[in-house]
Amino acid sequence: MTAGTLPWLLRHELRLAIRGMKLSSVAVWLSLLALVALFHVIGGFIAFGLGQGAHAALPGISAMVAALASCFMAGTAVYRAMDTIYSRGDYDLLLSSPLAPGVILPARALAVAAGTLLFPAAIILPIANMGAVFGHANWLAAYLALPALALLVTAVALLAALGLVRWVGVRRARVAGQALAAVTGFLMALAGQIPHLVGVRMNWVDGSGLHGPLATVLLLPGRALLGDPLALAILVVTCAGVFAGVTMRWGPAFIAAATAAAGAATPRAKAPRRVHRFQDALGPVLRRKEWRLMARHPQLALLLFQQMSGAVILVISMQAQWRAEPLVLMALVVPVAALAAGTLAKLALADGAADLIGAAPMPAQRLRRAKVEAAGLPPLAVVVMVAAAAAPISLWGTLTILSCGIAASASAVVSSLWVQPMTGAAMQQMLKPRKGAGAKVVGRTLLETLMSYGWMAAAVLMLHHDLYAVLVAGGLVGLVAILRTPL
Amino acid sequence: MTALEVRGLAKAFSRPAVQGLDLTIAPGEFYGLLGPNGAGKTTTLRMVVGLLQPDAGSIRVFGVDALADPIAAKRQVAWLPDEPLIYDKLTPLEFLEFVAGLWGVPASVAAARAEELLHRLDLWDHRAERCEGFSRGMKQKAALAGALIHDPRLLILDEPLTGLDAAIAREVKAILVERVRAGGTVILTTHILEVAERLVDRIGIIQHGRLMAEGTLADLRGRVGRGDGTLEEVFLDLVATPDSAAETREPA
Repeated sequence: MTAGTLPWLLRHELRLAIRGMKLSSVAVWLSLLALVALFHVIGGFIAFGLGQGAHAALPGISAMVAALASCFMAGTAVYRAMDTIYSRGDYDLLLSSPLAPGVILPARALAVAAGTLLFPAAIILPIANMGAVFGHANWLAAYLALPALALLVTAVALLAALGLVRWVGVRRARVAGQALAAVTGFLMALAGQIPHLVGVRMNWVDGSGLHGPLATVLLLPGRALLGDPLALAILVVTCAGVFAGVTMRWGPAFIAAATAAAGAATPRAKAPRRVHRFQDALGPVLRRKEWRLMARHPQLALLLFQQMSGAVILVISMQAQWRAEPLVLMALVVPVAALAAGTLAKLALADGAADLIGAAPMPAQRLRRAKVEAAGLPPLAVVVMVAAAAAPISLWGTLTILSCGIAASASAVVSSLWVQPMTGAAMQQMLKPRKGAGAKVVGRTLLETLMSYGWMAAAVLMLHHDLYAVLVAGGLVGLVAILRTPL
Repeated sequence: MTALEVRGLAKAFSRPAVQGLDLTIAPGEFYGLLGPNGAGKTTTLRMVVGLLQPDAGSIRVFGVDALADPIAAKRQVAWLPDEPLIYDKLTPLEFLEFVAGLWGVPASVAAARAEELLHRLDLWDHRAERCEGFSRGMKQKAALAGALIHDPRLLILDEPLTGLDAAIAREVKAILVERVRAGGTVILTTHILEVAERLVDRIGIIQHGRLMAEGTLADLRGRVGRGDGTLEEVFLDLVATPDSAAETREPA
């Protein structure tokens, strides 16, 4: 491979990305193989079901899958595009080398596209593979259609990132980009609900409600996924063309934005009007510091939006039930509070100056308690407000929401924080789990989400005076014990 | 009473980092701990400030057993590493409020001291700006203010002048000298030997985790037979001697 060419630089980018995944241990590879096998089993059921008599609906379903994948990829691509601007990395090295500038952005953008493709490909390609096994070899077109969509989405994300830098300025663009990434994730939740939302007014699934150019455009990615040669050709050519056009036309501007981001000076703050009042009591000092850092964390909005997308899906998909039982809708605050508390706890845990607090004359438990309080109190305040709003409907409802909200938030914080080491080398070990622990991180995240919604299930059972609520709550407490195990 | 007394300190990671180190530093002393990269300087200091647990040995800070009562020992010490220990998302005032809270400084005292330190370190005009926009020198000054806000009896600095421009480095050095004159104790590691030569009262040189030489510059010159040699020449002579560690440990 000739040094300095696009493939050469792309190989470098991909090598860095792959090494970042820590795939060197046998256990990780075995876990991945097990996941691939599992996805193929699930994909086999889906492919078999779709292949049995739902032919008319296939283009619509396939279009919805393409829309979902694109929305997901858009969120990831926007985030990664912003990261490309702000993570200085090796730009200085690349730009000071005799490498052609026109090579740098396409290589980096292709790496972004590859990264955004991973998750949708892991879900969709097993279905295509199993479809081929069941006699739909044309479904293997997904191997071309999905990367094409990734290229298109990446090109749009790069443009969006560049636009944000130009419109809101280098300093604010990062936060705006994260909000945008969060919104695209939110759109994914909506895209999955399209058939439910439009209902009989537009028969999205079989496309019969759609006519004309709009239907053609909307259904084209679906038809391409299913192997329609013309649709596939149009999709691949269009997406690759847009990607090439964007990276060539706006590549220099993008690199200039990245360079500007590195040298962006903080605007001089105005002299404060009020005198900064120092606190005497230790608790408020520690909590205030945690809250300041949480509120100013650049990923807070994105993390919270992502956490809430599941709740949005629940709200949309269970509209009828909510209308009948508003208390059950109010109980949605239980998982929302728990997920928010878990997120805040993780932010509090990632202390930027762990050695400072490690060197302070303060028992580690006291500092940990401050982090627990800082992470748990804001979500609990929301729980209390919702529980109070439930009071006119039912006192039992108020008590249920309050008790389950407290238990769920406490469980989330405790499992995220309570026994985790938080300073010095031990903290580094926690933040950068040892080789092979990556699967455990994913597993823990899933368990935490499960636990949060489990507490909602307990709340709903309690609202219906069902004694199984006690059983569910007991199981969830056991889950906390599992989650407390260090990685 | 000594400011710092270390006896038989040992720590090993994949290989021994510190091996049976003894140090005695008097109150009001400006002590320079020198050594090549990987000699064990930072590991030693991290054990002294309670960030690492030693495998063996004892540490006493102003008579307090730092291993038995780490909280009492930490109250008297401030630690300033080469990478500034600050929160990028806090302003200098918010940061100083937090550090003062950790060390239990009363709010009124902390507020006055913060104002004085920020004026002294030329950060007062930046007191409401988040540290994320600061240059490295400004961050190091903010971290130094954090180290001084609780008026520590023992100030430990690991490469505090790395990456600072001449003016800021001079200011930092002046502050350190002032603290020693006022009776404070300062331990400094640095690779800038001219700084150690001009500032410190006594020098300890460690290599492979062992104290291989200790004394004033004149003592060290005498040891290597360089009557008017610079610290750099003396240091290079000492660390180049393969058996010097074994020879010099006995007197220590």
